[in-house]
Amino acid sequence: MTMSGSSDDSGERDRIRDIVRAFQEACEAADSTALAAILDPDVTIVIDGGGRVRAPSTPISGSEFVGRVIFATLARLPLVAIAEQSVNGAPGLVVRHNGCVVGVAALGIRFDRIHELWVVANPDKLRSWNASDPAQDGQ
Amino acid sequence: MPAESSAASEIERALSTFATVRPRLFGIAYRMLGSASEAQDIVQEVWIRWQTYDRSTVRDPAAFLATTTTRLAINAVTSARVRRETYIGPWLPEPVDTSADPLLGAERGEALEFAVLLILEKLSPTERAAYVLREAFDYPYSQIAEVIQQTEASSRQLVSRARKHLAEERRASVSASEQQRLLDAFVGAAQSGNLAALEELLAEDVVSYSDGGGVVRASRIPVLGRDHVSKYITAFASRFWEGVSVAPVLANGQASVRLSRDGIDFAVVSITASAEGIDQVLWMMNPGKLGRMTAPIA
Repeated sequence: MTMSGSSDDSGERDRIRDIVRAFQEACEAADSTALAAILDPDVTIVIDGGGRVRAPSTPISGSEFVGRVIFATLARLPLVAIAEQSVNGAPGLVVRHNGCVVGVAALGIRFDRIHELWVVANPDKLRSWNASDPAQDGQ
Repeated sequence: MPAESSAASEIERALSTFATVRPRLFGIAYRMLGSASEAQDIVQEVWIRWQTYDRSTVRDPAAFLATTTTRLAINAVTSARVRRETYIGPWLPEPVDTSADPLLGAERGEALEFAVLLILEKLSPTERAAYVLREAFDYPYSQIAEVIQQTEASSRQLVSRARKHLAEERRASVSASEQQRLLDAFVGAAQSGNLAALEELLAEDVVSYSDGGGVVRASRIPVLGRDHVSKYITAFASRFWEGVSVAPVLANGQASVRLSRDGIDFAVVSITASAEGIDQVLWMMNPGKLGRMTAPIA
């Protein structure tokens, strides 16, 4: 059991991917019950907006508040597409708006629930995700 | 003009040497700074130095380039941290897309996840460098010592301190209620001899200690690792748990259970856990110590 996907254990990676997928589906459907089922009661969300985008200025804890932050943020961004992708060596999520990456999320998973959500929304930090040639920056 | 063409091919060689190790250099710098753009700047700076350096004096170009990168990154960490003091809102590492290169130029994908990068922010730059070179790139301590300009002994110490720091951070983040939940699940899985459930609960580097005090039959040697511990526990499950009643107790402030058979206490089982899962199981079966170590939970 690890916090996320550094283990070679493929069964564990599959389990983590299932949780990430369930999270993605709950977000897309704005289904708070489904979301609550996969969030740890003590989950924390940290959003790095760098002062460039609207985001809470401190980390927010507790599954209810975290759920509200997620849905409020998604409500402001109609027509977003959320896709699963490997972020920093672990299953994560990429949020696109009009084809542009506006957020990248890494998840800390503990005991089969999401315990940490790190969301990078500062456009300066997403440049390599929006580069026309990903090999140039993503390497 | 043979002189010119040999100079040209020398430059080409320098470039191809650099291109080969480039992913590794970026991997080191990124793990040091948590920033892809700052890491890119450092790799660029290394390239400029490499072009103008007297390369004929360099015996091992890969080691030389990694050393230069690490030292530049150590310096950059300090100024990056100063800049981050005025950052608006919470600071997070710049995420990297690892679908193409899951290890980012490393032997292992270690020290790449957000959880670890955020803890690495709390280490000194030198400590961080030692940890990154060891855990992600599998450098021998003698080489780490050279890179960070310290003795081999102090390099070992730096890495071990960093590891301890990470383990503590992950342990501290496991709440008492979570420890209790893990213990309950552990006892359930141990009782039923459920191997898969045990493997899921145990950290990869879990250690199981038994203390029989030489009176009770118990393994004197600690059992190490998830595979061994889970098999060890399932192996004795059917005999060990027969007719046993389990009661929660606090032993040394740790989540524990007291085991009794026919009204007689015979063991106290305690666990400690980190975010990786249960990392220590203690089977106290020494009759001389059993009575003293427990207090019932009111």
